[in-house]
Amino acid sequence: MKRKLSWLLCGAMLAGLLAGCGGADGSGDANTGDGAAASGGGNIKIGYFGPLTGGTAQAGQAALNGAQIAVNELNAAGGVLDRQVEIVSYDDKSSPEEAVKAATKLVQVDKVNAIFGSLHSANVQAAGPVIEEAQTICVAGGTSPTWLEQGYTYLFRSISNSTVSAKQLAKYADDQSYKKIALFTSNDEYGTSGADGFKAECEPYDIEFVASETMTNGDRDFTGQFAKINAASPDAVFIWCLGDDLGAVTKQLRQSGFDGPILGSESYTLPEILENAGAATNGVRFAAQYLVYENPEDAEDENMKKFLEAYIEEFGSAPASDNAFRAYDGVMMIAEAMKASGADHGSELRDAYNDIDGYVGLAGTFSYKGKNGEGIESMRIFQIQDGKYIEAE
Amino acid sequence: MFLQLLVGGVAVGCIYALIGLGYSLIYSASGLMSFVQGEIFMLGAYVAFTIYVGLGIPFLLAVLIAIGIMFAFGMLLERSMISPLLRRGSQQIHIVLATIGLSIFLKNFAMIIWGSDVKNFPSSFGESPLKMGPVSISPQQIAIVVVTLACMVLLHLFMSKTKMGTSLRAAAQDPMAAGVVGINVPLTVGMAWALAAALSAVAGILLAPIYGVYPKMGAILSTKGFAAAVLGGYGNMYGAIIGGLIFGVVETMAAGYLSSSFKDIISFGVLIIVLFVMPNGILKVKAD
Repeated sequence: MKRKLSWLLCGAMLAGLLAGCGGADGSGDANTGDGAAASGGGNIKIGYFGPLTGGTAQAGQAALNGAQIAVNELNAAGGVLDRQVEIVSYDDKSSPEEAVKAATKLVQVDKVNAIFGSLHSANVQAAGPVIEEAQTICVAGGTSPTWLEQGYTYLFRSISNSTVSAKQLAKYADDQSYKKIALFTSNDEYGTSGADGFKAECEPYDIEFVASETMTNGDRDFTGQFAKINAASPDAVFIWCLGDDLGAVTKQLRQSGFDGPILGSESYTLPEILENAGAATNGVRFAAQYLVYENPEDAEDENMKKFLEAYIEEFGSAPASDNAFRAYDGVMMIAEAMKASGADHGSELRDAYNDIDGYVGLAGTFSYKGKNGEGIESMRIFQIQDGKYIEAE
Repeated sequence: MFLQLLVGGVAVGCIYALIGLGYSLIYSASGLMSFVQGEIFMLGAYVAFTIYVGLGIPFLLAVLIAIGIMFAFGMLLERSMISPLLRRGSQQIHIVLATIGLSIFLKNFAMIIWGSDVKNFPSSFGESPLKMGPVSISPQQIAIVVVTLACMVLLHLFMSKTKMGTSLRAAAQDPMAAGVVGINVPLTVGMAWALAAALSAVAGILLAPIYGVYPKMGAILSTKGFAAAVLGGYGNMYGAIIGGLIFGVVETMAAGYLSSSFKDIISFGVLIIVLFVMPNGILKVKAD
């Protein structure tokens, strides 16, 4: 009896295993978007690859949704080049290896007209050669400057790269004539490179760094550092540390008696920090491409408002990540290039994309002419006042 | 700047002292080491947060209820976990492991119940700092020092003037003799664990408005509280207080005058040097 039972169990496990494998095989299939029913004809196919499972799945899903909103909008207006647009999407699981597979499938099997993906710079970097060889334009949302410095001609970015933030803040500091700035950063790669970037951008201006203090991620006692910073009586304090520390850091800096302006990283866009640090965040300035709004009414920009309303109507809630904005801008600009040139693929489409000049998207005004794939080099400076984000003058 | 650093150092040292006191109390009453004090500190902050912010009960009452709950938690911990383990013949090391296990459990428990994000605990003494000449002190820092002093005086009076305190000291010196003269030794041991938990909870509630409340808030503090207890002389109540203050001031001075990156290296370096010179800590504890 016992033996029979164990055989039965073995059989059941084997069956489960086989079923599991079958599921895994199936999951790689293309997930066709809106125009799936008419896929046989002349639909314009936009490929998407990005993380749809794993830790950054929310961001990837938001991007895919953002792309879908763009496609809906284009199709409602009669499509592009009188053809309907559809999305072919693959999960790159946040891994460069999967990204290469996804990109290969998009250009070789699905023969898409253009691609949006991925959100991770490492994944774009890995998929670069495949995309370049297939002569298919690919607009990506990763912010590391490196992958556009490799000489690819078919890659583009639909957001500013990460060096822009430091540049804008340095310029802002000069405009506001902050002469003495104290640095307070985390002692990891993020904080160190943030401080170095900012210092380099400040070089042309008459700015002196009167203190430079660091913290360890997770520490919560900054008494010594802040006493030193306050003793140097700076005009502004530059804070560059990870989002989970930012609330406590801001609060304690204010409690230590510093009530001047704070220049910070884009992590200040996290609603959690406003909640944690409360009134302490008054007077924080940071550079960001856009804010993540929960309510369309909060958006001042008309395009943003329109996008958010469409997004909420389609998906039930506001995007969980700003990657939705990056994808929307990317797909809209691909369509823009197609309309301008009449070309739907290849080098002609690439040249048309390179000619985009003065396109106003959610991120601001894009101009790609002669910039090696970079389309936008400005961020907005936001200021926190009474728990609200306002654009700083 | 020196005065500013001193004030900040004393305030943070008070917190280390309160947690260190817990370690010392438990050790002197039962000869055991507990490594769950940091998580009790965290739990105290969460319980107070839930009662004060969640249920909207007035601050002082909420704090008293929270301290009461944590006191009971400490008693329960000793009664339902430590004492049964000892009865089954567990050694010191097993108790250490059991408390480490409990601390991991509590951290994850807090994450499930309250989430892993930082909760904002509003300060009931106001956020804007008071300027006194070159020194600016936040009202919360004043509260920390005052409450810690009050706790210490109360604890001292309890230990030296009340019957319970006297029996606690007697049981700590010689449990068997204490039992023979009719002292309820299990009760006094439970009392020590309960007091230790209450003190950690007070520290957690005092620090919550500055640090915010989150599941890992106890992790760093417990190490520093432990260091304070060791520095002062493990098992000596007054030693824990001195140790905590020294640790807090040295650490803050190191961050202010030397380098903030080496803050911990310097303060723990001082701990090692002190122990090298005075192996039993600053206030000697009888080796028994």
